[in-house]
Amino acid sequence: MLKKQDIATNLLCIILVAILFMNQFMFKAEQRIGDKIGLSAKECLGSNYIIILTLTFILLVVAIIKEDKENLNFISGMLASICLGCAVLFAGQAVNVVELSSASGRVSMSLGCYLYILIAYLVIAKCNENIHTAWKRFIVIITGIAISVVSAAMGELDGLSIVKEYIVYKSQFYEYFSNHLSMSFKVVISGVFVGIPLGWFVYKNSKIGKVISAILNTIESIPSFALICIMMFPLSVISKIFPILREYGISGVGSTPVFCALFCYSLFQIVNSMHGALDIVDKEYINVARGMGMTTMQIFIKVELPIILPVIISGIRVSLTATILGVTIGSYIGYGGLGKFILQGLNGFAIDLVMLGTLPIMGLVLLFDFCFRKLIDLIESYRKVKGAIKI
Amino acid sequence: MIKLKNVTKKFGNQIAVDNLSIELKKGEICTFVGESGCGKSTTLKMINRLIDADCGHIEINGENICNYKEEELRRKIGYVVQSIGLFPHMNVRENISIVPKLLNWNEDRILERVKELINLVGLDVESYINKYPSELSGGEAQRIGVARALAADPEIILMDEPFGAIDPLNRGNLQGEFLKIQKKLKKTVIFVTHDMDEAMKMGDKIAIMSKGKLEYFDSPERLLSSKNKFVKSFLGTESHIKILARFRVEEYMDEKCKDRAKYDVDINDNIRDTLAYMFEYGVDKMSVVKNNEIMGTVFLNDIIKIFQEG
Repeated sequence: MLKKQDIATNLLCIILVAILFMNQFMFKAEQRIGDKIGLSAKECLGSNYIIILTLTFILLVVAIIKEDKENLNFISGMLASICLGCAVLFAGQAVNVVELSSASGRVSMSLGCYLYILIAYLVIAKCNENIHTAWKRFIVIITGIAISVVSAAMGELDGLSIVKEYIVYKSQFYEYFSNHLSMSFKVVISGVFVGIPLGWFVYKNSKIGKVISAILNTIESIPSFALICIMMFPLSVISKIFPILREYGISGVGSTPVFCALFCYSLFQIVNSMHGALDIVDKEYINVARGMGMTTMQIFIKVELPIILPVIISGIRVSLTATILGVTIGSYIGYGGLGKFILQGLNGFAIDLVMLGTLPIMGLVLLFDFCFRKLIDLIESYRKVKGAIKI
Repeated sequence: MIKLKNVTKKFGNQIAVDNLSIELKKGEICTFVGESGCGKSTTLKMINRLIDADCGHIEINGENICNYKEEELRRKIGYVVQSIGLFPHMNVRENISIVPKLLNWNEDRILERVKELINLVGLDVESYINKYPSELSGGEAQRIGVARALAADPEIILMDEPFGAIDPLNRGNLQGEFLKIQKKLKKTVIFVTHDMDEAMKMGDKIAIMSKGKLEYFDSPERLLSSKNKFVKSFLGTESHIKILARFRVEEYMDEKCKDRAKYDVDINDNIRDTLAYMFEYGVDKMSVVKNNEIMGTVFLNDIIKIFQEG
């Protein structure tokens, strides 16, 4: 009995229970910027505490007996998902429980709560490994998100400090968010358009290729923060010499140096993954393709590109992820991305403002990571059917 | 059909092919055999210009191959390599259609041709047309490789160690089937191999190369009487027995002697197998039968004479 124990999930569930007994589930501060007093889950959740504790206990029990049975995994996945949603909702309602002396006081999620949400997510992911029906996996994931989103929409979370910050900075939030996203895309799309042909060229012409590789390697070794700053000097000189460039927004501060620096990194990653991918294409394929009378261009489009496509997309995924994170640093030299919230928050010790910048960035990274993985799967399965014909 | 005249190729200081002249007739299979690095593959690749010769010239049907555009020349010549040559992202149909597509055949004609070829190489159209190379065994993949080379009905086929990666049993079958196909289609084939058995089995002509030089170029049967030192050492003593596989019992039996001997041999068997039977049973003569009817007798002494006559 209970032979195929999922040790990892069991451990995660034990940690979930433990978190509910720890201090620092949430914290309160009498002023927006001021001393933060850690609260345990029991202190801040009130009557909800019993509910979440019970749910988590049941989850632990189900997790122990579930083994790899699909139905029990579905149940424990659902439980974890509900726990996740409840953690968000109950944290939002905590403001009604925690006593604050002044109206400007704040109640905020702390390490424990974030950890609880993260680990609940991991449990969901682990359970989904044993669920083989796509719609069940989808329901498991969406339940927790749905509870969180609905609670947010109904104003249940308005008491949370991070939401208060969001309401204050609402217009800026959308501006920064879209700036952040558009910069990331600009960088990666240009990286793809330049990097793929360049990577191919570097691979085929080893002499010039080595020089280009060496330059990109050197740039890659410069820390991104430094590179962005270094970019400022030549760009400001150039824009002084050719004032017309300023009309197109090219100058030493703001978006141009950020774009240039991140573009270099993105180029490095894509050229490198292109080079590595072409390297794994068996030389015999190229030999045969040539022997059958394909031109160099036809070989690239019909043979090399299809074979390396999954590797390239995976390279673009890594590049996009790195770029989304990189744009954050651009805020140091005045670029209006989500990094601005992090900077402002750090300057004012307003941890929730930092989270207001951080959480969407994490969300974006996870979202695109997921999308690209799905894309690769889609390509692989499309490949299996695309050439099939009926006889 | 194919004519190489004083062809030389150097890689750096290393001479890969040294002043090679050779002429192949239409419809012949010529096997190139030799140690690795002897220049046999290089010679093959010079014919479809994957490698360009330094000196000398190569003619196909009297036309210098340098007068063709590289790609157009190659589309006219079938090319088979070891089984890895099938593209992994294309299924059987797409793999076979490559050259016809490059030649802009219309879709219906290509599909017809693909079906015809899958049949020709002895596979079932319905179950194979949509398969991917990863789903094929080595032997099946190589059949498709041959089908792909035949796709645009080229006059010439170049085969670079095509059956090298296949287990001996399957290799034997594939060789037999390829010879059957060749009987029907009468292509001009250049077949590179490092396996002397294969070279002798497949070739109407054998070209033996060593260090870029052509040491022997004639029919396999004539190998026995070759006085060339390299050829003798390359063949070894065993090859004399191997070559007997090319001779059929029918040609060496004594038709007058129709007494039943202790053991029979089928009229379609080759001399090599007959010799093996004789040693196995410890006899020096066997009756040659066709459908249980005695056609004659084969004697050990006559077999031994083959070597002396050459």
